[in-house]
Amino acid sequence: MVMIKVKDVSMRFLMANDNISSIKEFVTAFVKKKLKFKEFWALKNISFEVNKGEVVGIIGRNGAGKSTILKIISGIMKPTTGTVERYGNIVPMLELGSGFDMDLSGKENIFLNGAILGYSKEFLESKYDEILEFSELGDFIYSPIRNYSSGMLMRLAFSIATVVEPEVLIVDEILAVGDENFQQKSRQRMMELMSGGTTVLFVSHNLWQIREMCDRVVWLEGGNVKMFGPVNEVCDAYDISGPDSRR
Amino acid sequence: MNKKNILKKYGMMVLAVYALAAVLFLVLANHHIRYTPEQSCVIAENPEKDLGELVDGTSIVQTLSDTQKYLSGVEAYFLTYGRENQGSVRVEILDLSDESVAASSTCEVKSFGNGEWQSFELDHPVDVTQLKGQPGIRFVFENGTESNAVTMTTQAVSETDQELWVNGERQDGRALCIKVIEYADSQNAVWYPVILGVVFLLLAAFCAWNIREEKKGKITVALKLVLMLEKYQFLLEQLVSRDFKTKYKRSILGVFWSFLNPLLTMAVQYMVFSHLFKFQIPAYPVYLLTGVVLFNFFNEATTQAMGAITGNASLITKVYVPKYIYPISKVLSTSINLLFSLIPLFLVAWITGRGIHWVYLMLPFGIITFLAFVIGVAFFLATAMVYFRDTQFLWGVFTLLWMYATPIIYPISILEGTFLYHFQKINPLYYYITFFRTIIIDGVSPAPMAYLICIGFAVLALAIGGAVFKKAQDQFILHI
Repeated sequence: MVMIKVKDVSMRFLMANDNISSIKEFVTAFVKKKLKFKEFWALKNISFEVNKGEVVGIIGRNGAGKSTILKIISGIMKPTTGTVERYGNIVPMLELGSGFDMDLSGKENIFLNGAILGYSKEFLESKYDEILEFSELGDFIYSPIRNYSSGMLMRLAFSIATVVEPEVLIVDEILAVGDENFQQKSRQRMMELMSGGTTVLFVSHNLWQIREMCDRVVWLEGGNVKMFGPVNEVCDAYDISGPDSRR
Repeated sequence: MNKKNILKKYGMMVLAVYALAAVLFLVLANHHIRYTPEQSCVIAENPEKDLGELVDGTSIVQTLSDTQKYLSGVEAYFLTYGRENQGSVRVEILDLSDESVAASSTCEVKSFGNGEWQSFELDHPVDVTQLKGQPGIRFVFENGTESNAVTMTTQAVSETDQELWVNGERQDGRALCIKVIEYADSQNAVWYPVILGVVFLLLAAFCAWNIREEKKGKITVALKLVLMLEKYQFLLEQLVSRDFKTKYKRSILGVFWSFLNPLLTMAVQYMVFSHLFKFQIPAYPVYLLTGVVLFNFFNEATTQAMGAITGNASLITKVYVPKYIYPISKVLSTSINLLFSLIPLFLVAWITGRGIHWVYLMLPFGIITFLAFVIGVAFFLATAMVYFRDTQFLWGVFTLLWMYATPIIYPISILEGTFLYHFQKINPLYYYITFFRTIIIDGVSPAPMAYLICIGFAVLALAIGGAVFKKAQDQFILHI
């Protein structure tokens, strides 16, 4: 069963010669007909499918369009042409702690951040203890998060983000945060999430991780699909293509 | 989950709310529905000749003809000789066949202004068709003494079917300078329940159709809307509570500022304007505070919502959430403030002697339509802000201009004959503020037209703002 179907997706960015951000500049440029844009195609006719229970990796060098395709699949951006069909609930894990408010307590932020990530109230209430326990925050959960250390903040954010039971998980690099102890714990949590039969779309620069986790791999280069196939085949080809990709 | 019942539940809710609102409207706006608007009918208005000092015991009778069905008040022209006088005047509506009094109103002459129209509201309206004879108005003066009494004026008239009697003496060819406030039965009364009923049936049919389609497994627009609401209700709640919690988080008085702020603004403006300009406005503190509270809400909500997209850039580029949530949540969180600041408004109304009436039940209608209007404006501004950051500065000046162009601190009468007077006809803020003032100050329901205008502006703003926002929202991410 296909969970994500990316079909002929192209993404064009228009870059104005100068960044016009005031009405005056816009009007003068418009009147002079100097509103010229440089076209930039971040993605060109990308097509691939992700089947249920499959872990698909996306590799490519900086600027290859990896983040853009993730944003399009997550629904954050609309592609210029082409379509993305999604089935099941998709949880994009692109950033930790989206929408955290520094003046609110840790507890209030769990609900705020959870709501932004699309969790329901009942779900958050039932998982609250689990989140608290995993974050190891204890009684700090009741004080405003502006008093937290950056490690505590990341722990809280990670705990909320990974409490999900998604059908499709979109991961931009394996997130390992906090001190050594918590890093290990969080890496383990990520592995659990990704290996538990869920469908995963996984972006990483770490070829070793890709080889370990993925079934199939999409290799993007300059906005095109350079190669799409079984993990070892694509990774081997990627490996010998350039020394900068080897880790 | 049984999604089958969702639409049924919401449909029932919509119908129930509509039915309740319709019934409330029919009951509370009863007067407007059953009768034509009040008109002031001039008996005579050129003060050509005065009647001399009207001392204790003087009685003036003006007979009336060609009246509409109901009399509810009288306005009379008085001269005070430029001094403060004593005594009182009683206005009575007479049945001339037996001189019985149908209704009356009493006023102390001390408060009368020289050469001003003084209005008397009768204790109850008189149905002149129920009188046996011709109707008449009698002015009875009490406790006025020489050089301590007011006077009334007359005008020469040619018609003879109205007569003026002073202390039993007929004054031929003259009429008293008064106006009579009259109204009649409305011909359209029966249409209101009919139209409201038809709309109810249409609404019910629409709900039923949607439920049937839902059972067939089709996804209609209404179902989409309901599912969206269910899905994002929690997020909306969270965003609103965040805004509200953080607003006063580190201030000592906290949420108390919601009460204090409009009250202090009103106090300052009241002190300045009541002494500086001396506007002739009944219940000026309430008049002012109503305007201040509503305008402050409008100003704050639009300013906050304008930055809703640009301010949440980090969220919008990282998480998928329908973007309209952001401006809506800003307006809603400001509206909690509005609700809080209504409390001091009611308090001031109550202290200055306006009772709390049943018609207050119509306030939610005003609040909801005003909210919808503000959300529409917010959509537009939030969109404009993404493309042009100048919007925030322009809007600051624009709202200031709008505030002074709207009768908030002054009465609309001082605008007469100017361009601004005509501007009020298309000024949504003026209509919303007037809607609230009619309810709170006059204690009566606004005219049916006022309801329609409130809905009209809300729908218009939502349609334009929503369309602009919807068209542009996919491009937001490329510009923030």
